[in-house]
Amino acid sequence: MDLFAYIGREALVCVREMGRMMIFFFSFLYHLFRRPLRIRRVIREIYDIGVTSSSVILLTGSFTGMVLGLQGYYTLRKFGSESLLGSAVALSLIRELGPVLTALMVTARAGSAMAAEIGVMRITEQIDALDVMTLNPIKFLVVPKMVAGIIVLPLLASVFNVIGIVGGYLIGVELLGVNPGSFFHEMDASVVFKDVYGGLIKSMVFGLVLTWVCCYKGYYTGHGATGVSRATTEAVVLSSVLILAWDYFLTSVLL
Amino acid sequence: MIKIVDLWKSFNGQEVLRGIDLEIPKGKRTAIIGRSGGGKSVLLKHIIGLLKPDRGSIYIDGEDITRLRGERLNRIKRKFGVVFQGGALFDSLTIYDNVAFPLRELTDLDEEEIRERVERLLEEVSLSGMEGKYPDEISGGMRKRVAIARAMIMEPEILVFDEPTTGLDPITTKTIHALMTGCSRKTNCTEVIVTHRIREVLDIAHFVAMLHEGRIVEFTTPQELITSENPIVRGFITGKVKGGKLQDF
Repeated sequence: MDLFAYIGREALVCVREMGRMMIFFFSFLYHLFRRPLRIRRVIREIYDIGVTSSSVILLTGSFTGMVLGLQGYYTLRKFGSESLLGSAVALSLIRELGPVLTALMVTARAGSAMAAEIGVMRITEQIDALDVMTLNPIKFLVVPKMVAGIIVLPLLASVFNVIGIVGGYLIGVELLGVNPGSFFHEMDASVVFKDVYGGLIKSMVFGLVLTWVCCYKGYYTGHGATGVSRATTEAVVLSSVLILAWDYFLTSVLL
Repeated sequence: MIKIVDLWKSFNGQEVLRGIDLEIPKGKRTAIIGRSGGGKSVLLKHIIGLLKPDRGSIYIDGEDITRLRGERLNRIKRKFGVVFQGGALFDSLTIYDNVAFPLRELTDLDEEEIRERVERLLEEVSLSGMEGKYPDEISGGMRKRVAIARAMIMEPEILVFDEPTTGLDPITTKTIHALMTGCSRKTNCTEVIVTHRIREVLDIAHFVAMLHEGRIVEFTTPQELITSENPIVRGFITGKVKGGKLQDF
């Protein structure tokens, strides 16, 4: 009986948490279309998320492309299809690895900072101060971050893709001797517009999901430093899991 | 005037406010005193519209804010300037930007007018020359003064202070008191102070309300408070405890 009681209790906690997250999301939607638009804050958030994450995106993008070039070359060589390396690297990056790894890196770099920032503002009464000044905290703090996330993720994923392709080119062509003409020709022939916009749609959804989760966790943080650190950890874990889950659903729809 | 009628609030089944009735006179400085954890800050958060009661009403100049939402509630909230216990300064902004923040966000004033008002106010709270510093670079007393400046910048009709001098040395406490009295003299605003320091009440309050176990047990002047025969008030003032409880409870 204890086990059933425990499962029931946990299920109720889970349902309540999901309900609160949905209310938070609808609150975001409500304030998204209300004036003032606070474009400056959105631009600042784009800068914060984009700049803080760009170095890690460049690093992970280049190494991912290089690994793809290396693994792809030795796999394709077994079938005598080394010329398809450009196509394999580009499609893997544009469809899957670019959007997913970018989202995971941004979650780790900017998402955790977002949750911690809002969490600290909550426990030091800065959010109450905004509220008393009649500045709605969702409108003032959360909406710019979520809008920035939706805008900046596709941009970062595109950078990731380009750097990854360069990495794959360096390993495949410069190091392993694949013909550069066939590398780019096969890439050009196999990558279609649907792959590109599919990847961008994924990035936008991941940007929304990660900023939503990170802002939510920070906004409803527990008490004190422990509460903020727990909220930050939960934000990163839940965002990462949801990004991978949504990747599956979106891939099923977009294929 | 602020009028609170039969205000009840509980958290997780625990009653914190149990039928508060209180009238805070306009243009006067009223202190709300009581033991730590006794619900003073909860009452304050109801007055400034941050919390909704389980039942009861709070009238600000005749309007019941517990029934208001959206822009109508915001119109009432704009009458308040609030100094939070920890200051609640925005830690990513400088002192100057913290004080300028309400003007930039809530008014159409140009940057020149904002600069003029902020510099004048920072001079009043003796913080000229500190404009470029961040909240974590200044002392607790300075943070409180910045918070007072930020609360005053919109020239509110009601100023609310949550434990304004807790943790501050006597000299800084006197400075804060001088600021508070100077402010109300200048603008004739209503002030509400939440504190547990009797000395503070005697020094600056016009009226005092004692909150005990979720109810107002005494509303009087500071002079009458110290001669009060109410055993709860006497126990609080003398700080005597018997069997883990305040004397004569």
